Amino acid sequence: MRKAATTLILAIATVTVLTGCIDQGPHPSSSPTRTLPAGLPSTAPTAPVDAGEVTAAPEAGGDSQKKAIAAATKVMQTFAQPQLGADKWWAQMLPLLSQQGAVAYQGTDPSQIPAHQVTGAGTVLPDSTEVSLIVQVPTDAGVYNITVTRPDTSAPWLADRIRPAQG
Amino acid sequence: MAKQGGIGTAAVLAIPLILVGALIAGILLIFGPAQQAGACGPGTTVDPTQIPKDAIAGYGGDQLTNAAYIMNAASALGLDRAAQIIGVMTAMGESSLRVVDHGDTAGPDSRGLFQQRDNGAWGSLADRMDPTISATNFFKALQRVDGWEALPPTIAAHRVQGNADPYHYEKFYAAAATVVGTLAGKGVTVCQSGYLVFPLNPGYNMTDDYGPRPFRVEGASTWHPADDLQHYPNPCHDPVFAITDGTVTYLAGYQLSIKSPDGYTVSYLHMYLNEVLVKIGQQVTAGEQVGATGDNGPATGCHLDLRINVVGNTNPTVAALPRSETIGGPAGWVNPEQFYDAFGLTLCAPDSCRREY
Repeated sequence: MRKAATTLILAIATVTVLTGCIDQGPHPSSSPTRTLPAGLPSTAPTAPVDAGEVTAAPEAGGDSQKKAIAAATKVMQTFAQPQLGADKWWAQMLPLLSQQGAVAYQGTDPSQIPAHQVTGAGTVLPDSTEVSLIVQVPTDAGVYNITVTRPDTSAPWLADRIRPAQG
Repeated sequence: MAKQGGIGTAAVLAIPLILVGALIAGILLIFGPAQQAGACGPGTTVDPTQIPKDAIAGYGGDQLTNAAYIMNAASALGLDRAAQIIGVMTAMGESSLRVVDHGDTAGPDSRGLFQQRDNGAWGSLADRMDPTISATNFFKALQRVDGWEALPPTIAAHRVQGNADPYHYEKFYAAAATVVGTLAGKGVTVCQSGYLVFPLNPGYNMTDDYGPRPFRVEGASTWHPADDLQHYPNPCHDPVFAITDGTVTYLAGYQLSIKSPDGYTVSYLHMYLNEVLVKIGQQVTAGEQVGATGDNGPATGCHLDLRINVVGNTNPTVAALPRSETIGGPAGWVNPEQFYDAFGLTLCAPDSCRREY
């Protein structure tokens, strides 16, 4: 939100920038005050004008979404094995996890996992992309959100997070 | 549930362990030039008999006394404030900071502040029910986690506790940081949480905020769903850090977008693409440098335009924030300052960030 004097200050600041006449005063890391260049009015320098707009990444295509649902379902089926020993569980999970997923889920005690089976078809949440999306998978312990990612469309979807939707 | 002591990793199969070790080493390398998320000051000792009468972040009375015991157990081991917050956060997630004298379905033998189990790793029943002893055993186990300081706090806690959900503790971080900071007597701790960090190095100013623009600026939209940040002087080529984990989903023109594993998308505007350090599909970690400030696109000066779109979000904390369309703006955005507030951080603190708009 800009104050009324914007235009005048903008002109001054533009000249300042164009002429390279930029103050080399102290860095404002410890104090909000700073030294202004001599000769300039002691008003705040003009904020840069910003008219940016963003573009949403395109939604994942139908084939990508199908593969993501299949991958997330496999992840959930593998995850939901509390009866499996920790070693076997981890050996089955690791190939299905992204790097960040592997770091996060190391040390998980599968016997604590409340889910035992997938009970329905997965669905892709809005704002999916070709490299990251969330699949909701229903289980006997409620709906889980499975975040899957991939570096490009030729790579398999791998799981980042496996979390109860009502977390 | 606290798992079976510090021997958890020994039980892991050898080959996956090596793989994971390599992965962690790779992530630590990526972390190298980034912000140090855990650095937030030395541990403080608190007098448990001098606890404020008013609740802090919804916790009061014995809960705060227990938080003090946890903080003191960390201090006694020479641990810093980041560890104190991890301890209090973990106990919030396990017991709501109460010395619980019963277990639950998943762990009928779990007891105490940290819900430590009767498996020999956590001492006697009396030990597990003692705030100081149970906290000390928690912190000793934390110290045995390789590289725990570089892990997000919830993951560090998970390595000790062996929960079913590594992210279980995340939502308690802001309250834990507030309790620890307040009990330490120095106000709310400004610790970067691992989950969320600041996009620029400290000392930046805010040059435009979120919301409707009262005065028409030539060529600019009338509603700004973003915060603009810059250092002054020398606002250009300033390192820009990913504020959360995520995957790069869009990179073109003057826009970099990173989608959080929780589904919302953070966009960083006006960088020059030749100064962007990541590519589409790449996973980035909170605090990792992704580029540098520029004036690419419709901008008259170098700055970072930071904006957060919550379409597809699954995080309850983020979902609770008011959305732009409810206050007359375009659909799908939240106020970055409120986003930081919700995770216990202040994006533009009065003592370090000047507002110039």
